[in-house]
Amino acid sequence: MTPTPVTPTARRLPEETTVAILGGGPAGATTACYLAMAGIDHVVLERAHFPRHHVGESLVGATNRIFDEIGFLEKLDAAGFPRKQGAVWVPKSGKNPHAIRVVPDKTFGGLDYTFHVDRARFDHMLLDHAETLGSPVYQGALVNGVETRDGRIESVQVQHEGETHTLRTRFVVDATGRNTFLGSRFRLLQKDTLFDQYAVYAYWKGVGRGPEETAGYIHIHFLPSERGWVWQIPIDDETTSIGVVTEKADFQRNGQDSEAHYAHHLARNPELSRRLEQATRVSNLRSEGNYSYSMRELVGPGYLLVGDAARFVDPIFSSGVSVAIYSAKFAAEQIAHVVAGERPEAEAFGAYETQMRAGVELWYDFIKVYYKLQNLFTYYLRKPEYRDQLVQLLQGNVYDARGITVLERLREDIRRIESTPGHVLQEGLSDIPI
Amino acid sequence: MTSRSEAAAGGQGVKSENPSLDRTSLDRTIAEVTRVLLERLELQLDPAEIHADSEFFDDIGLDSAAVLDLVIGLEESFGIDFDIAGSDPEDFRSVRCLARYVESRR
Ligand SMILES: Cc1cc2nc3c(=O)[nH]c(=O)nc-3n(C[C@H](O)[C@H](O)[C@H](O)COP(=O)(O)OP(=O)(O)OC[C@H]3O[C@@H](n4cnc5c(N)ncnc54)[C@H](O)[C@@H]3O)c2cc1C
Repeated sequence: MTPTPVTPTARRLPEETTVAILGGGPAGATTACYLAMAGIDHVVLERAHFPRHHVGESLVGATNRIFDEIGFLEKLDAAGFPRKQGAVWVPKSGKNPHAIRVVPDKTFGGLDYTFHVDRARFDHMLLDHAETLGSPVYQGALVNGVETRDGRIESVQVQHEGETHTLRTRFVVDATGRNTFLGSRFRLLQKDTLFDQYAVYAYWKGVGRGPEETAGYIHIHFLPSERGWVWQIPIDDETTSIGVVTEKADFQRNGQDSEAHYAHHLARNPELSRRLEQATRVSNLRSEGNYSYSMRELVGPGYLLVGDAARFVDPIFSSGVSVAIYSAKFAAEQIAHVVAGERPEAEAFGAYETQMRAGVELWYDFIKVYYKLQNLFTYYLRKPEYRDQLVQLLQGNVYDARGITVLERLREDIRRIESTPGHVLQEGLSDIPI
Repeated sequence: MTSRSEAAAGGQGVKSENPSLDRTSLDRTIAEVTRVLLERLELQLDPAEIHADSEFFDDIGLDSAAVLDLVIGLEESFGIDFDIAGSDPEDFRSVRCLARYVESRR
């Protein structure tokens, strides 16, 4: 296939490309960076005009590696986002918060911190970065159809500047986030039966951030209800994102509107209440629900799903952006193998699926164990023999699971608790199968 | 679990050879357990109502999260390691039971 000439400022959509990337969030933009670096012809089709708002502000340490590889880490570091070096878990009593320093591996880019980011600005910077690497990025380009022949996508339909275009393409990377463009269309989506959470969040000013050493950490304030917690994420010197996460059923059962629900839960952790005493809310309330699902397949003839378009579980460990950009890297690498004629497509895409699933399954296992008995997690974080591996997981180093034994140990302990009649921790166990 | 209960029983057996020493040491442990309990947990209770035979669940009203918090406090304060998953419910019945368990882990 003859590559279409690539011009970063191209405003008219080409008629043909090698890779059509649907969506310009972290997953799409990162895929674009890798493809641009590999010299593979592609286009990014993003329906919004950036900057656009997005949830998911706290990054994990493993992201440094990808940002370093695509030459973005320096820009990110220079942008002045709050530095993140750990997490604090605040028990529901509000007493004895447990802080854990989680410092990224300095081999990747030399930084011993990651970031909390205003996603509107961050996503915009990343997409701009793809453009500087030579990616043709089309904003305001809504993908609203695909045409297939013999089970293979042949072209995508794009609404751009009031016109409908047909873009012929050899490959499609679906990076449309929770919009799950292909997953919904091809009926691959499976709702998660274990998690049905609901999040409501807003920005505040004047939130108390606690002791100096941990002021830049993400805070997880436990709530006295199953699977309920509140995130506290610094956005800049003054602004803090405060999000309430509960089971959706909890929200519906109480029959409250989002405002009442939000206020009700914010008052339930004494330490959080203290921190909000002098604070004022400076944004509207936003809510997110129905966000836990998986896909029956992550690839098919000519297409790959990356980031949230492939899977989203639960935001408790801030894994979303990390999964988005790692899956982007893995997908771009496999596409490069196929384009270079080094591997047949089915084999290459199968390898992507295996790699992506392995990582996400580890996150998922971790999340299940965590919600099974939330407090047990902070207990084990104190134990030297568990801590190192837990920290490795918290950083997002989940794609090479060899040697990760800690989850099995936690599961064994939970089974012992379950099988001991009258065990003191039994009442705290949720019904999640582990 | 059996191995742990045996260890605990063995520990007590050794200590009862010197009952008077044992008593004061247990009393001190009871006092320390009570102190950690009051300090770490937000209890809706008058501290004066807590004594050696107060039961954690019925009298003091702890739940599993509070128990874990208490265990963390005791581990730090006594420098011991609870095998919490393998623990015997009986050890968590009263302040005295827990103090005995703490002694057995030292
Ligand atoms: C409550 C909550 C809290 C979270 N907290 C965190 C956190 O602290 N840290 C973290 O890392 N992650 C967090 N996440 C997850 C994080 O938001 C996502 O994982 C991340 O944004 C995924 O990136 P993405 O590029 O796959 O998708 P997105 O960022 O959603 O990007 C998808 C893009 O595709 C575009 N698009 C959609 N449909 C079309 C179409 N048809 N045509 C063209 N373009 C289209 C959209 O406009 C969008 O820009 C959280 C998620 C939730 C729900």
